[in-house]
Amino acid sequence: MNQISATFTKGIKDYLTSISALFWVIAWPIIWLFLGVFVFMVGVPEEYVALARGKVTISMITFSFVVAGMTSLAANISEDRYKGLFLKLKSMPVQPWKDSIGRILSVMFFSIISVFIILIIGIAIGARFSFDILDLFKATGFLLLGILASAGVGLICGTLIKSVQGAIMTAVGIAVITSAISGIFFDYSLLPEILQTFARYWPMSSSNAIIGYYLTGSSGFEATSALNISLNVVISLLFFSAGLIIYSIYCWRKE
Amino acid sequence: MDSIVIKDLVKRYGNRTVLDNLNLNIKEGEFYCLMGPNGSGKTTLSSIIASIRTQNSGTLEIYGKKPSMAKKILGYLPQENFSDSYLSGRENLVYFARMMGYKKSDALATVNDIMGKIGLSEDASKRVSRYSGGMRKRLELATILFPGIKVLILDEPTTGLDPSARRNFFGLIDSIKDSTTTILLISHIGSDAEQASRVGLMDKGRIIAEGTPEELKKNTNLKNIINVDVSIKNDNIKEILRVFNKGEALQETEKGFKIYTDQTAEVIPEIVRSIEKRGYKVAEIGSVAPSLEDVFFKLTGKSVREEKI
Repeated sequence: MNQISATFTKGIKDYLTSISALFWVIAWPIIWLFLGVFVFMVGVPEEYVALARGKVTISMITFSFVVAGMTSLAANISEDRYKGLFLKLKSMPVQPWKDSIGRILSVMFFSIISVFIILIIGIAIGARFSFDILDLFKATGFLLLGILASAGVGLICGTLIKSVQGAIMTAVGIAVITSAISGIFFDYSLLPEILQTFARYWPMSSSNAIIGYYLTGSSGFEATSALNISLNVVISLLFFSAGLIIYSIYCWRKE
Repeated sequence: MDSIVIKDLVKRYGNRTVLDNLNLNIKEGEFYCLMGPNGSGKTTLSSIIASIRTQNSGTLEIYGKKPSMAKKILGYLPQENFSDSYLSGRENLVYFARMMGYKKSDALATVNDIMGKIGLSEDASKRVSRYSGGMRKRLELATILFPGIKVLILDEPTTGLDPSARRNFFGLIDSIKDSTTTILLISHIGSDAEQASRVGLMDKGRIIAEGTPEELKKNTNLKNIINVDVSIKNDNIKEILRVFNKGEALQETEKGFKIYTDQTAEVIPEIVRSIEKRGYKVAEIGSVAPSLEDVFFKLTGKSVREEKI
C-alpha cells in the first residue's frame, strides 16, 4: 500500500501544481462550456435550454477526463522517464504494478476533481439533468470506465513516444481530434455515417453517449443497448489493459 | 568480507562488447572508484550492479545475492537529476522513503533526520526547482541514505557541479563513510577518484589497473608533470614539446599540453626558450603533481575525459 499511496500522492501533487495540466483539464473545458452555453446555444427554444446545457456540460466533462487521462498521464510518464526516475525506481525494491496502480488512481482522482468543478459550474449556469439514483450510479460507472480507457491511451503515448514534447503533442492531438469527430463536441446526429460508426466504437464517445443517456434521457443512438454497453466495456478494458501491458514492458523492463 | 563480487562479467550491445570478462571484488566498508573515459563500460557495470540491466554471462553478487534480490540494501544514484521539480525537497524524500516501504509516519521522521544530515533542513519545504545544482545533488544522494542501505553506487555524481559544490558533496560522502557502508563511485574525473581508498582504471570493458591512488601513481613511475599553456595550440608546438616528452604522445589540456619528465627545474626554461625561438608564446608554465588522469593517459595513451570541466 505504501508504494501505491506514494505514487498516488506524488501524481496528485504533480497535477495540481502544474499550470498546464490545470489549464487543459479544468480551465479549457470550462471556457468551452461557457462558449457552448452563451454563444453557440443562442436561439435554442426555451423549453430545451436547461437540458441542452446539461448535455454540453456532460460533453465538457467527457472532454476533461479524456484530456486528463490521455495528455496529463502521458506527460507524467514521459517526464519521469526523461529525467531518469525509472532508472532510480528499477534499482529500488519497487513493484511495477503498484507504481502503475498509483499512477492510474492519481489521474482518476484528478479527473474526478475536474468533473466536479465542471459539473458545479454547469449547474450554476443553468444545466439541468433528469435521472434517478440508479442512473447516477450507472453514469458514474461509465465515467470511470471512460477515464480508464483514456488512461490506457495516455499510458501508451507516454511509454512509446520517446520525447516529452512528442508524447504530449501526440496525446493532445488524439484527444482533440477524436473528441471532434466522435460526437463529443458535436451532436451525434450531425456526424456523417462513417463517423457515427466510429462514435459508437470509440470508448470515450460511447461513454459520453451512455452518461448523457442516463443523466438527460437522450443520446442520439441506442447507447444503452446490451450490444453497445458490452462493446463499451470490452473496448474500454482493452485500451486500459493494452496501456498497462505496454507501460509495464517498456518502462520497467531490464535492458 | 566482500560486499560486491564480480566474476567474468560480459555485456554486449549487439556485436559491441561493453564489458569484457570483467572481474572485481569490493570489500565491505571500502570506498572504491571506477574511473574511465566515456564508453569504457563503467556506467553499464554500475547499472548491472543496480539491477537495471542484465549481463550476457558471468556472475555478480552483492553480499552473496543476485542484484535483483539485494535491492533493499542497495542505493543507486543515477547520473540524471531524477527528483521532482514540482515537489519540495521533503516531499521528494518522503516519496522515495515510501517507495522503499516506509509507512507515512515513519517516512516523515526518517526524512527529517536525513534532511538534517545533508544540511537541507532549512530548505526542506522549498520546491526543488528553487534548489541549486549542488543542493539538488545532495537531496538525491539522500535517497540512498535510508537506514539499511549498505552499498551505495554513485554514477558520475559531480558532473555539472562547480568546485565548491563538488567539495561539499565529498564532504558529505566523508561524513557517511563507515566500516559497513560500501561506496562505489563511477567517475571520469581524477580529483574525484583521488577521494577513494581504491581505484580501478577501466578501459574497453576491462579493469586495466587497480590500487590505491598512490600505488597507481607509483606503479606507473610518474614523478613530475609540466603543464604548458600556450597562446596557440598547433602541430609546430606539439613537435617542439614532443622532444621534451621523450618522443611520447602529448596529453592535451584545455589551454596547452602536459609533459612527463623527471627534471622539471632544468626542462622548464628550455621549453620556454624553444617555443619562443619559433615565434610562439608560453602563456603559463609550471610543474604539477601527477594525477590519476595522468596515470590513465600513461597506461592507455588517451585522455580519460574528452573535455575539461
